[in-house]
Amino acid sequence: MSKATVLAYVTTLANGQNDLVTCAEYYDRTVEAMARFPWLTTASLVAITAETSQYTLSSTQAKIIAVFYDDRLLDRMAVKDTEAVFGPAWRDLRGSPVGYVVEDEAAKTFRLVPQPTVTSKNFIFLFGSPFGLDYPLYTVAVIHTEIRVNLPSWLELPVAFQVAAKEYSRESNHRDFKFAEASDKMGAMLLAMVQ
Amino acid sequence: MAKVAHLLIDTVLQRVRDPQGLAHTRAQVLDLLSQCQRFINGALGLVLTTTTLTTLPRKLLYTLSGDLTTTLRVVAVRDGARDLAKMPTLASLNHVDLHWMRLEGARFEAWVPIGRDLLVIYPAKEVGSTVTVVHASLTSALTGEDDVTEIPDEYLDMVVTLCEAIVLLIQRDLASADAAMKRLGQSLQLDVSAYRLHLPVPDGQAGAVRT
Repeated sequence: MSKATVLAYVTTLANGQNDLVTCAEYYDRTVEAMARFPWLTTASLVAITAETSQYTLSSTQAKIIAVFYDDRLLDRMAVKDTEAVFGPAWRDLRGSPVGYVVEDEAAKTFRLVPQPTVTSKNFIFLFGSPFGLDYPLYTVAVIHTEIRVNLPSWLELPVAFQVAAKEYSRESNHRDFKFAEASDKMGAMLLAMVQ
Repeated sequence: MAKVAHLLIDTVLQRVRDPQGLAHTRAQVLDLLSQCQRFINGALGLVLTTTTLTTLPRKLLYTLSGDLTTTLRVVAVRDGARDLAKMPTLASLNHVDLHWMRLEGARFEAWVPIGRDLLVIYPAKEVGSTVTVVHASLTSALTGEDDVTEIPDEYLDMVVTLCEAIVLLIQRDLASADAAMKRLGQSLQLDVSAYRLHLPVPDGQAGAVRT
């Protein structure tokens, strides 16, 4: 629903000059770009396999905010720091993970350091509470931003301004840099108000 | 005393020199006013709602979008009448206990917001319980001209000014829209104080009033 609502706002802001197909695409790109910042967050469990250190996020999971291994909040480490602490062979190090490294953001992979030696207990959620009574032992919980097609209603207007800004910046018969700039400014102001 | 929406629509249309609503329909302005009221409330936390959140045994992490659908921003979490301490980041809980993710305690002590959707309530309890979540709420949509506003009257000018700026943008009066945005920015600055935002007041500033 939010996509239709946002596009209706964009049409209002554009006085009907906008191209709906292009705006729909701009909406998708804007929603994806929002996942770079912690607006829409969620938590996911990742089953760990012994002797495997690298894991992949799903396509809708974007930026990692925090990673827990079992009951411990892991440190996010840069590759150079990891080398400095654990030595150049840090990828082969085994033990209970104390940190994680994002080696390839495009591939959505992260590596636990050291490599875990224990496989997660079964993901059986008898109580329906994966982060409570059912939280499996030796599991990784990732808190991350999420790409959500349906935005909460309070994000619709700022996103509409951002879409309008893009629509009026592109080459077209209605290009208007000044309006694009003003729209972008208004979108940023609205976001700042609910930050 | 709350204002009826049609008075605000009249004011916005007069300010943008379209009192008859020829360029901008009254329904359009009503919808924008409804959104603007939410943003002003989001910025200042004027209309607060108290919701009871049921906590589960050994669970620290709660999804707000599921439990509290009208939340704009959490301003406090209370266990009974006791305010829990707000911790700025997850890492700050590490200073309390490195194994806090599975820690259980007799009573809740602190909370940490993560983005807009997640809330950590620390420590978990062994049994189910409840906490009170105080949040700046998403004000009700103004669906008719007879609907009344929710935020206090002394802040309605901000709502009208924000709406005015948006309507001026729509009619491509960019200079006037910019002036309205600046006016709103200055007006908001006076109210964005620690007290208003329910933040801790730095030592030495307690009792100070911003004018």
